[in-house]
Amino acid sequence: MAESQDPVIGIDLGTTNSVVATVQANSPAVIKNRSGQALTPSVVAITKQGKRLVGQIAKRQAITNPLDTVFAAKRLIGRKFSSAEVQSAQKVLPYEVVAGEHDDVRVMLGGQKVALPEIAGLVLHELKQDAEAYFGRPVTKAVITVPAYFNDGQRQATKDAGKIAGLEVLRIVNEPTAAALAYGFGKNVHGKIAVFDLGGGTFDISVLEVGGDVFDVIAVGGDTYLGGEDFDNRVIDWLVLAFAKEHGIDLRKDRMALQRLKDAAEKAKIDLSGARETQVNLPFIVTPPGGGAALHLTGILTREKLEELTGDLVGKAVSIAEAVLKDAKVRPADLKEIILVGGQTRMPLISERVKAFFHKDPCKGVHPDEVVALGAAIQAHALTSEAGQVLLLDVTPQSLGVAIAGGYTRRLIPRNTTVPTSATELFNTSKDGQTTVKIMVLQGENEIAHQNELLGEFVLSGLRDAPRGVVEIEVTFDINAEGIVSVSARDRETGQRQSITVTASGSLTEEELQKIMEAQRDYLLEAKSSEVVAQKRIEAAALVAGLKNMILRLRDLTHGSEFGNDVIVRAEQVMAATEPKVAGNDLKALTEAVDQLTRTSAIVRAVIDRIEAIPP
Amino acid sequence: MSEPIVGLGNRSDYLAVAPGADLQRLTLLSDERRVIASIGRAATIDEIVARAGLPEAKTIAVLLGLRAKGVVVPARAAPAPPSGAVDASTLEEVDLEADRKAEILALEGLIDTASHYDILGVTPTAGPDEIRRAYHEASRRFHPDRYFQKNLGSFRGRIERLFKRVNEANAALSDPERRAAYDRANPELFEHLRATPVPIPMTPATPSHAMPAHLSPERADERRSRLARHPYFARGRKMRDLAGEAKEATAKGDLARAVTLMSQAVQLEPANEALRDELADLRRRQDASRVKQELARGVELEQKGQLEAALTQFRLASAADPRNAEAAARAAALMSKMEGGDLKEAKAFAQRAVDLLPKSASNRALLARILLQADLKKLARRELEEAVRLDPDHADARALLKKLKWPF
Repeated sequence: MAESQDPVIGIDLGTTNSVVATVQANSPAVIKNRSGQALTPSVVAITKQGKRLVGQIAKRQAITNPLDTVFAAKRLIGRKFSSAEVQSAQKVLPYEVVAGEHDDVRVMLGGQKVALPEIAGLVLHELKQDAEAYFGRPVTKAVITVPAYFNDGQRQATKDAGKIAGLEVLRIVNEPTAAALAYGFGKNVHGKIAVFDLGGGTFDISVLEVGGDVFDVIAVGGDTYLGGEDFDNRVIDWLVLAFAKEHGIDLRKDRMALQRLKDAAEKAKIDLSGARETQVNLPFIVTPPGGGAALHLTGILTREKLEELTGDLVGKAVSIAEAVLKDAKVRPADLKEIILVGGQTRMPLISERVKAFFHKDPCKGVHPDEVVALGAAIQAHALTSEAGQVLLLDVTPQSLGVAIAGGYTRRLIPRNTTVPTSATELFNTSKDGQTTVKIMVLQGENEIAHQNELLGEFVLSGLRDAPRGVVEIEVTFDINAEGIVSVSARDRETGQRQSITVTASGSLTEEELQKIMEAQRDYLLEAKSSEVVAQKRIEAAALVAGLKNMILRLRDLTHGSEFGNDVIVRAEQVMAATEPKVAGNDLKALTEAVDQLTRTSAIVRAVIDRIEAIPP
Repeated sequence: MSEPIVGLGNRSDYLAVAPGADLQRLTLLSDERRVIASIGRAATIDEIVARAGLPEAKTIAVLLGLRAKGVVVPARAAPAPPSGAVDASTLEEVDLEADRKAEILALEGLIDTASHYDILGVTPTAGPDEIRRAYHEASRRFHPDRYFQKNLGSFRGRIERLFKRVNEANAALSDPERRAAYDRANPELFEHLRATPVPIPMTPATPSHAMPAHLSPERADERRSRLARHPYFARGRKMRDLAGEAKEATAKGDLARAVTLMSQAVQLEPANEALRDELADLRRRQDASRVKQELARGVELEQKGQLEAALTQFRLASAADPRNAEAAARAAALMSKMEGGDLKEAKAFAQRAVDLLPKSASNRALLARILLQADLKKLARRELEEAVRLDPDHADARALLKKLKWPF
């Protein structure tokens, strides 16, 4: 079926790597980036000259530019600065993480405070351009995946990132569901499957009931702060500890050393998926503070040691899987297939433990790095075209509730409820003449309100002046198919819609978002024009050099006589006049300068030719 | 041809797939599946023929077969919208087909009153697999993603409300504990199943349920009226009314009406065996009387010389009542006489005629003639010998036999 509309893409925005894919001729395929790779590192950097780098080139210069290279932004997106995860991340990240307004997270990049959606937006923009290079047409519509256990704030932030990148985000889809889609595509699967997704930064376990073209999620669970990065950090800790014992220096204080350690740890971990032992070699890692020769770090890491260091992380993942199966009221024997997703599942310990728990070999037929993007592409295709329709019935991963008197949570929508869904609750005034009601909306399983995630404080204002308890407001909490929460309110008596303002939500406000998008537009324009300026400057420099040579030749030829002198003087005048223009940044002035230099060169050239044509 | 078709009814009558038919379990041919797909929720015979894309006679033959199996039943057309508001909605310009709009509007009215089982379209005795399948099917129809970025106007809200209701029903019925609790709280759903199949009352009498003995008369009355008001229980009452009316119609001789009423009753209570048997019996009687009409018409057409039409009539008659020897015989005879007739089919028909009336020499003679046409001399001779034995005076048989004995 011919696609007369714009192409649509699916994007796996991963912690470590991102992938973009599409469906062509009813077949999903990964789109390689402009360097020919399927995986694009989710790394963003700013050089000393102020140039932005994204992807592999950003990752490559990370060691020499640790402060201004941001990776694993997904670990921070949508979180509060005061949360435990951000605090612990700060300790191990070489770049600076600071607080923004209302407790949200910013990173310092090139001396500026940048919001996390903007960082993610840069990666998405890069992938957008890769897709456009592939199709040869503009690409504006995409489906982006998030971990199933992402809460409302994290999902909103990802959607904002899409907007900043200039994409219309058709849908936010959960990663394990996307993986199941890609697994079931083209096969007529009927039965229960489980998806075990351990990526760079997040862990999800999802149990689905597949009925041919319907993918019905029964239950999900996970940990949005458990992934490959944590495995790396264990190795780093071990190396740092050993070094500190030997030399008494904490390598973590040195940002460059930290970045090198991170690279080495990741590489060692990957090696140990194949080999039984590997060597870690970091010469000249640090110079001792008292002066002296630089110190080296060497060591041998065995698979046993790695498994010892990270065993509890694997155990955590498996116990979450156990809890989710119980939630779903499904036994391991009921499952038709276990699908492993995410690079970290290549570790032998993981597939062993999974096999031991599920009493079944995990499925080997899916590519753990690409399957999520393929699933996203399939969903994008299903939403925008009539043919090839699959249906996703996803669930909300955490319970939704409101804070009630005493600091407890009243649950309105339980976890694992199929979305879209909604619940309505009645609120009334507790004081005479009360005109506002504040509702704190929470996401989480905890009984105590403040231990759950606060989605936002919703303030209903402009209520009727009436004795307490008389005014009843019907508040409806909606969770849409993407798992994003919205709240609407109605005065029960009058049927009038109430106005709601959201405060303390921790995500970007509308104006902040607009500002960022404009800044992004300006930056792109500037980048384009600065390219042109650079080109013109090179041209001008070449012309000046050529002109200088010609003047010398002319001097030779005329031996300082009257003839041709005025030409030389004129040419030198022009060079002097254009010098400031060439040194500057003004495109118009530069263009003028280039024209002048070109004309002058032509004149001088003509004179030289004339002289040389005169027979001696 | 705007005449009624034997066994199916008028061409403008509606047919529907029987609610209890499990299409995945039945072994159906591809043509049958195609025709079933063309029916959708309910369709007239004309619509089915147009949609199926098969030759008309084939479609009708398939439909007859499906009717005989009980997969397809007559249905009433969708009820007219009760109020002006609903009328306006059907006229709304949206990216939906008219029957989809009507379906949504009809179901919307049921959201608050129907039980979880009704919303999913399953019986209270359905197993978890059936419930899951019904839920998936409902999702395919009503999930908002199916209408992504389509212009739906007011229907978007309706579809979303419907889907939410479907989700609620599924959530309640998929969890064994919740389902058990729901069943306990709504025992009326199972009333009609527990009661022994009541013989169809001769008059639409007031339902005489055995009230629990310990209830005092006033409380029993109150309970009775409360149960009678319950929307699901009202079904049982309606069923009994319908059954009574059907009996009346039969007594009057209006078999068509009786069948229509009885099939409605069966639709309301698919699990009631007694009703089903009654319906099957009524249908047989109706077909039998129809067959006679068809045959007569066929003979008429044959005499007029419209052989093709006559043949179709005979075919239909035989398909409607496979036990009618005359129809089979006439069909066979006509086919053997016609140019380009399908000998195999003729043979089958003739064989059927012989099987049904083994003592009829004419039938055997006919079969023999066809066998001869097919060049099966030995078999023909055997038939002829048998025919002559049965009726020594049968001129035809004797003549044929004589011809056979002499090779030239």
